[in-house]
Amino acid sequence: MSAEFPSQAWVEALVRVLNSDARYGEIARSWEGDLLFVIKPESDRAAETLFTHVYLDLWHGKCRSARYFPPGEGGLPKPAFALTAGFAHFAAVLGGSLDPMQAMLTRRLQVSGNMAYILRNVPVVLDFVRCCRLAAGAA
Amino acid sequence: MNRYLVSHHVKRIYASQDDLVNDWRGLRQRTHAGARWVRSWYAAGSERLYCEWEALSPEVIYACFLPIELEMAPIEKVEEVVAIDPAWLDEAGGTGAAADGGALSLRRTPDRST
Repeated sequence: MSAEFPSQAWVEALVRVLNSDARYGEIARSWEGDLLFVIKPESDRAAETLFTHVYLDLWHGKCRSARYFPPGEGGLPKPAFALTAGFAHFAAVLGGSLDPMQAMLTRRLQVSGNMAYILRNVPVVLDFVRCCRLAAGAA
Repeated sequence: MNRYLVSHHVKRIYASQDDLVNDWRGLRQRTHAGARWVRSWYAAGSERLYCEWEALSPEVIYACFLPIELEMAPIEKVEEVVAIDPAWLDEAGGTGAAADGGALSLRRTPDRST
């Protein structure tokens, strides 16, 4: 089930996890909000300036749809939430070396959208991260 | 310095990440040697924020907050507490947790009434 982040294979693995994981389904049963990962290129690969995106339509404990946008691909949706960070910080959160709350409060992970909704639903966020780790084979 | 557990009811949260982070940074900058914000736990389910402080008094803690912060997350309770680290029990020796797989043995105090 493990797949490299970010990639089409990782997105497909994540959708499988989100839609089959009973714990996530229960914790996120009231969650309403689609999400866009905005992944900035690594600083040591400055020549690559194109952003990679991952879109996830999360609704009541399920992922209704998802899409991987390779670097530079347009036609991005306008989601309720966007999480923006460099690849290294996303990788650190997914790898477990960076706490998601710490990432948000230090702005290493920039949040667009209603921060109050995210904090009110912190258990959903944390379990979503757990599922992301499962998809990446890190959990 | 005393240690306190401060319980807040989080009634309102900033909608923007920048506003939230800037506000919390402001609170941290308002702390000082007489009132140190040590750590916090947020319980989303009950909308409570539990904060550990080291301070000279509860009043000194209150003084670190702006009125709007106390309006958004009013303080419900300030309790003086003592910290207990379970790891201390590993150092206690005798028939402690390490020796019996986790069960804590308590030595019966002699009955002084007889």
